[in-house]
Amino acid sequence: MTTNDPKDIEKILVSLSPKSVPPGLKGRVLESALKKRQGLLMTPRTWAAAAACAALMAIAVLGDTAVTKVQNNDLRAFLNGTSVSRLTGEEPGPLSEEVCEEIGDVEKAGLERIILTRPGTRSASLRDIFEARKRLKGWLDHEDESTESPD
Amino acid sequence: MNLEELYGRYGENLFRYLVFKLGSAEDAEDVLQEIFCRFARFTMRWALIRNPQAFVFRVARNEVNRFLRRKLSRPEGDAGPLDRTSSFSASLAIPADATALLIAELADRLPEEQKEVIFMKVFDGLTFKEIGTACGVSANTAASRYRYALARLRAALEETR
Repeated sequence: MTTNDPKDIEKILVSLSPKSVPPGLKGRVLESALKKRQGLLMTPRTWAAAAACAALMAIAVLGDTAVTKVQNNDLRAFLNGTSVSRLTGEEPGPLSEEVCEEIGDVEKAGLERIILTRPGTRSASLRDIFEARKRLKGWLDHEDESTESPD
Repeated sequence: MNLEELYGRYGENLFRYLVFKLGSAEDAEDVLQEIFCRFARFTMRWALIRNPQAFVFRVARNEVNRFLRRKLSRPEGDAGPLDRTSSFSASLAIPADATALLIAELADRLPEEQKEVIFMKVFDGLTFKEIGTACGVSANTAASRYRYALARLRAALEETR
């Protein structure tokens, strides 16, 4: 036999036959693996259920965040008259003008006080306040006639 | 890929490899069961594995190391297991041909990493790339080990004549 060629050595090695597998090995191996799988806390099915739950929770959290953001914007707009127009797209008239038709004179005085004392309104636009007072002139019993617009 | 299909594809090759690595059919069966228990947890991830054959042999190799470490750490265990070398004669039927028997004996004297490459290449039919992946070396290193092993075998065979 020629052994100078590595192919010959390879051929001899390939000719060696491995020992046979013991009978029943497959059954024993698969049985133990399946037993182990049954004992697992997280089976593939529970993993899928957990993933679905996680996705639903993520959707709920994101949805809640979005709704809260919108609500916060609305609330901010309600408390700060300047941003109402940005949210609603229409130019708001003075508050007193909008509600004057529905409330009595006593309430009008209270309303004016509220409008004048609202910090957001005061800081946002003093011009609007004087505009409101001008429009309410004659309606208010305690109106000081000497009050003048800064213009 | 379910477990039965997995066993059909790689089960017997893995068993032979484990007998070669551990030198005992009983230990090989224990380790093979451990490996399949491990695979039972991977059911959903097989689609992500690029080369399943290299992967199962890598898992088997790691499990062999784990098994030997466990055996060594047992108080009643002897210090032998980690010194145990892989053996062709444990996993191969006794050849009738004298030259083949001599080659099998000479192959057992090869360095551990060369023996492993020879076994994976010749008896399990892995490519050098797969052997490299399984053993954590490059395909070129695996190929070199194979060439050196054949050269050593050839030289040893010449010496005995």
